[in-house]
Amino acid sequence: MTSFDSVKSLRKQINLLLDNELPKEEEINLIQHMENDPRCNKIFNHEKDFRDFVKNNVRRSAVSPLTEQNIRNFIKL
Amino acid sequence: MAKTKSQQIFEKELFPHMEALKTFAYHLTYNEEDADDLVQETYLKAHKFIENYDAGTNAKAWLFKILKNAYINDYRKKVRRPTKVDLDDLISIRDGENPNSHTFHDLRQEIFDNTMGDEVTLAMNSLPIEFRTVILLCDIENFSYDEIAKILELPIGTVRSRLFRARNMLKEKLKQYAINMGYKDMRGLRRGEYDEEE
Repeated sequence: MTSFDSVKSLRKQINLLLDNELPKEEEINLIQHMENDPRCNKIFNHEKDFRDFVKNNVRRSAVSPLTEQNIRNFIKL
Repeated sequence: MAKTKSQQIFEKELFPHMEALKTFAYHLTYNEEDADDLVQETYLKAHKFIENYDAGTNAKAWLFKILKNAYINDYRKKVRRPTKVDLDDLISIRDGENPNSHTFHDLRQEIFDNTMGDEVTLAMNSLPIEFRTVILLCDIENFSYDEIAKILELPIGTVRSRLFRARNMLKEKLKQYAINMGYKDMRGLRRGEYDEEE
């Protein structure tokens, strides 16, 4: 089982896991670690919740109809 | 009339990313009109350089890179120019009239309306731009580290470390708001202390 020398390194690994950027072998090790350590699982859930929170609350914006029309008209030329 | 090949590429591959581009542009400029201009500029440049785009490849990443470059090369230079002031307006203000009083009032109301309940956006926009961009590209637009590295022209290791720092900075900015929303800050705790958090 993987051991982590600090919570910071564990959080880094969890972030990489959530970003789908962890090499396969490390991913398997980390998932096994989480299954055996509820505290690690808790950090995973907090990191995931934070991302969801940001993603769901950040302001999104649509292009104004006039700008969209200008763009489309230009492309048709 | 039959559509040209480039028109088809725009319709099928490039136009579907307009809203994502606008959201990114808004968080770069903090301004709806400037963000619209930046998106328009992006599509005009895409049209100009459409020969460089391989149909069926990563249209979204290609457009985001164009927008990022347009922001750095055009927009930031433009906004650094000193603002021109109308002398008549200055005289009116000195004499107690505000020629834009109606606009000024509306603008304040707009800022107020947009501020309430928009803490995440405010926190995001308060981050330095190099940290803001990686969060937007990764957490909001779901780009991979490799794609972000190409869009921002950075080494992938820099993307990785910058993202980690950026998320910590954002958490710090949102700490109080997040606590009120039920989120618990788990950073800085040693192993074994988590149970006390329950």
